[in-house]
Amino acid sequence: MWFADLVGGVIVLLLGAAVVILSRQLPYHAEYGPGPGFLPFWLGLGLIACGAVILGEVVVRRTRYRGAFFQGGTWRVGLLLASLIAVILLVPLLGLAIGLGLFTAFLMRTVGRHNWALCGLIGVLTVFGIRWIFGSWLQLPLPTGILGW
Amino acid sequence: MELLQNLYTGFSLAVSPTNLLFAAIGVIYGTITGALPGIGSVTAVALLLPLTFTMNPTTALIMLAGIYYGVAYGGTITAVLINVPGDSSAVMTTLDGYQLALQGRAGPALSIAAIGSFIAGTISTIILMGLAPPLAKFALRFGPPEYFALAILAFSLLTAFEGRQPIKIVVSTLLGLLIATVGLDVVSGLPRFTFDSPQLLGGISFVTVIIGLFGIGEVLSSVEQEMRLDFLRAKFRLRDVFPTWQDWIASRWAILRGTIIGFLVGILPGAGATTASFLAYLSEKRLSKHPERFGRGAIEGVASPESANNAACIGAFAPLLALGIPGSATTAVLLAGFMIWGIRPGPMLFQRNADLVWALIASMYIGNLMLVLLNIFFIPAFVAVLRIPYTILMPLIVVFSTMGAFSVNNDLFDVWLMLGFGVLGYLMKKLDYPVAPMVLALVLGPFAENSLRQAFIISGGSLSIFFTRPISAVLMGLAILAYLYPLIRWAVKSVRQVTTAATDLISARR
Amino acid sequence: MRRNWIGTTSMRLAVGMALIAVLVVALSGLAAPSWQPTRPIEFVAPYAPGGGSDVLARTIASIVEAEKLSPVPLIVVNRVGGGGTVGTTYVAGKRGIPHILLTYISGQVSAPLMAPGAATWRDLTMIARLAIDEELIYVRMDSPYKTIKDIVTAAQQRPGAVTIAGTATGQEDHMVTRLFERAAKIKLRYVPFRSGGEVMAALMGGQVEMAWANPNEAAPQWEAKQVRAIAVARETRLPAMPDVPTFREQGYDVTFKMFRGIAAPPEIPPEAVAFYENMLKRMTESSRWKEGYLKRYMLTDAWMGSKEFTAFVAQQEEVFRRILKELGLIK
Repeated sequence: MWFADLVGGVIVLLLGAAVVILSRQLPYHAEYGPGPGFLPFWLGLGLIACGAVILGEVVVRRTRYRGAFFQGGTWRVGLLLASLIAVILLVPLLGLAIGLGLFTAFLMRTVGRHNWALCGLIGVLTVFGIRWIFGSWLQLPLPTGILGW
Repeated sequence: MELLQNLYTGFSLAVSPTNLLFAAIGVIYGTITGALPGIGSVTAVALLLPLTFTMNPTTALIMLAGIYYGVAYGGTITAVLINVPGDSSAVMTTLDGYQLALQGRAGPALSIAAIGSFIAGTISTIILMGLAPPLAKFALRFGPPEYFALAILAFSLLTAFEGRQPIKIVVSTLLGLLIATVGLDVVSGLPRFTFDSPQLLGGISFVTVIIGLFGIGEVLSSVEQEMRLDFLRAKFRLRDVFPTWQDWIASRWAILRGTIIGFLVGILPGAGATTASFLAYLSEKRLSKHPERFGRGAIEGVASPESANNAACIGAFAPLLALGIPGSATTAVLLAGFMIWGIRPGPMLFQRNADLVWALIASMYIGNLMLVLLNIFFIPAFVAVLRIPYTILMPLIVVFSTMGAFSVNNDLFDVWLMLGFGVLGYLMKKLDYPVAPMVLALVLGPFAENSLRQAFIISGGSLSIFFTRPISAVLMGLAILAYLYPLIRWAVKSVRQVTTAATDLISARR
Repeated sequence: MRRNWIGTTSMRLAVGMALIAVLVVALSGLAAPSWQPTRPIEFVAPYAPGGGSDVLARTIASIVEAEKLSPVPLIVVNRVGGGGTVGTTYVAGKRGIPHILLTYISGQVSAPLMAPGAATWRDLTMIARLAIDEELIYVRMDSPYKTIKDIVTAAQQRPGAVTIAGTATGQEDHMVTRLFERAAKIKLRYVPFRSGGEVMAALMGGQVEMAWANPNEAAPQWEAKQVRAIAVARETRLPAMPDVPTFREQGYDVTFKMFRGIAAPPEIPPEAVAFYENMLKRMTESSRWKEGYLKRYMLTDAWMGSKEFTAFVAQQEEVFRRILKELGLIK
C-alpha cells in the first residue's frame, strides 16, 4: 500500500508542475488585482508542495502501511469499468438504451451469477425503462444506434 | 391583521380543487425528478414550463414552485439509499445518510430528512410571508466583497474535516479548486485548461463530478469487497422506519440552525441551495460536541443539510417576488415563466397581483405538508430498494448514474467525465483522500475567485474594500478568527497552564 | 492558351450552375417546399433555461405546434456553457443533418473569436434573423446621472473609475461599453457578472454606478421607478420606451444590434433551408409571435432570410472583431 501512496504523491507533484507550466500562458495580473492565471499558478505550487510532503511521509512512515493495493475483488472493478467503456464506445452501434441494458445483464451474470432468464429480463426492463423515463417522459435526445433505438 | 386577511385570501385560492391538484402534480413530479441523478430543479421546471403557457398563472406558479421544492425532497432519496445525490443540494446528505443506510437505518434517515425539510419549509414560508421585501433589500447589500468574505468564512469550516493525514485534505481541496477553473473564465473571458476542446469550454459540470465521485466511486469500492455484495439487504421492520427519540434530540437544533442558515443563504442572489447545505452541515459539525460521529452516520448530519436546502429554495423566492431578481438558476426559469404568463414580478407584484403572491405562499404550506406525508408514506417502499440483491442493484445504479451524467448536457462527453471522476473517487477512497473537501471547493472556488476579482475591479485594485464595508468587515473578521481559532485555543491553554503553574508555585511557597 | 480555355469553360459552367441554383431556390420559395422533416426536430438552445435564447426556442416551439407549421414537433434541448460555444459547436458537428436547429444570437458570433476550437458562423447554415434586442444604460433612481453628458463628464473627471456592470467579458455588454468609450473618448471601468440577474442585483445594491441591460431584463425595476434608463443604443427611440432618448440624440454615435436568429448544421439540403425559412416566416406573422413575444419582451421585428442573414452575420463578425481587438481581448 505504501507504494500506491508513493505513486499518488508523484502524481500530485507532476500535476502541480503541469498546472504551474500551463498557468504561465494565462495573464497573472489583470488591470486591477489578480488575473485569470493567478489562482491556477498558486494551486499548482500548492499541489507541488503537497506532493512533496506526501512523498516525505511515505518515506518516513513506510512501515505504517498495511494491506495490498490490489485485492481479491479488484478484477470486478476492472470488469465493470471495461464493460462501461465498451458500452460508451459502442453507442453509435447499439444506442445508449440497448447498450446499458446489455451492460446490466452482463454484470448481473458475471458478478452476480444470476440465471440467464433473470439477467435477460432485467436487461430488457432497463432498455424499456430508459426509453420511457428519459426518452419519452423527460424528452432527452437519446443517442440511437443502427437499430434506431 | 392585514397579513391574516391576505393569508386567508391566499388559502381560499390555493385550496381550489384545480390548484390542489396541480400542487400535488408539482410535488410528485418534483420528488421523482429530484430522485433521478443529474436532473435538478432547473431542468425539471424548464421541462414543464411550456405546458403552463396556456394555464392560469396562479395554478402554473403553484405547480412549478411545487416542483422546485419537491426536488429538494427527492434528491435525498437516492443520496441516502445508493450514495448518488439526486440533486446537487443533496451532496452533503450522502456523507451521513448513506452511512446510516449501511447500518440499516435508511428509514430514520429519510424520515428525519423529510420532517426536517417540512419544518424548514414551513418556518421559511412564515419568514418569507412576513419579511420578504426587507430581507430582499438586505440581500442586495451583498456585493462582490461580501460574497468573497462569505466564501473565505466557508473555507475556514473545512478544518472541520479530519483525517489521519491532514495533507490529503489539502490536496483534495486544491484538486476541487483546480477542476473549477476549467472552462471559460467569467471575469477575463479567456478559456482556461480547455486544450481547445469545445466541450471543456463549458467547464466541468458539478453534477457530473458528484455523480462520478459518489455514485460510480462507491459502486467501484463496493464491488471490490466480496462480503459487501450481499451485505446491503436492509433489515427492515416498520418500527425502523421512524426516527427514535434519541434521533429527535440529536436533530432538533440541527434542523433549526439548518433552516436559518439555509434561508439566509437562499435569499442571496449569488448563492444557492447547494452552498446553503454545505454551510449548514459544516457548521453543525463544528458546533457538535462529538464531531467525530459526522461522516459515520450521524442523524443530525442528514437533518441539517436537508433542512437548509429546503429553506434555501423558499428563501430564493424573496428576491424574485419582491425585486424581480432571480436568486438562483431555477428562479431564473420561474422568472421566464412569469414573463410568459404576462406578469412582472418585482416591486409592483405585491400591489398588482397580490392574490397570486398569497396563493403561492399558501400553496407552499400545503405543498410542504403534501411532501412530508408523501415521503413518509413511501419510505417503506424506498427502503425496500435496498432489499434488492446488490448484484442487481449495482448495475442499475451505474445505469442511473450514466443517464444522469448524460442528461446534464445531453452529451456523452459528460459520461466520459463521470467515468473519470468515478475512478478518481475510487482511488481517493482507497488511498484515504477525503472526497467532501474537493466537492466543497468545487462549489465555493469559482464563487470566491470571481467575487475577489470583481471586488478588485470595483475598488480599483485596493484591498480596503473588504474591510471598510460593514458586512464584509464582520464576515472577514469572523473568518480570520476561525482560521486563528486553533492558535488562540493553544495560546489560551498555555497561558492557563503558565498561570496555574505560577499560582501553584506561589501557593506552594506559602 | 489551353489553360485559359479550360478557365473560361469552367467559368461558364459555374455561371450556368449558379443560375440553375438560383432558379431552383427561387422556385422552391414560390411553390410548396419540396422537403419535409420526417422526425422530431432537436432545437438546441445553447444557454441556460430561463435566458433569452431558451425563451426564444421554447416560444418558437410552442407557436409552431399551435399553428401547425411543421409536421413534426420541435423539442428544445439546452446545451449550456462556454458563452454559448458548447451548443453551437455541437450543432456545427452535425454536418448535413437537417433535423437540428439552433438559436443563434450576437454572443455566438463574438464568443468563438476569443475561444479557439469553437464553431463560427462559417461552420453553420444561417436560416433567419427574427428579432433585435436593445442595449440600454440604467442607473438607480437616486443616481446623480440623468443624461449621457453627465456620465461623460464624470468619466472625464475620474478617468477609468466610473463603474458600469454587464454580463460576461467580451460579450455584447462589454462590446457596447467599448463603442461608448470610443464615441465619447472616455474610459469606463467595466465590471463583468455571470448573468443579467446578478447585474441587476449589483445595480440595485449600489455595487456599481451604472449597468447595461435589455429592456426586458430591467423591466420590473424600471416600471417600479427604481431605476432610470439613460440612453438606448439604437438609431431611433424604442416604441415601448418613448421617453428614453438614444445615444445619437445626445451626441454620441453608439448603436448596437443584439440580434436573435436561427441556424442549422452546415451543408443541409437547400430544400430544408427553404422549409425552415418558410416555417419561421409564417411563425413570425402570427399574432402569438407579435403580441405574445415581441411586444412582451420589447423586441423589434427584424426578419431576414437565409442569404441576407448570412451576409449580416459576416459583417457583424468584422465589427465585433474590431471591438475585441480594441479591448485587447484578441490579437
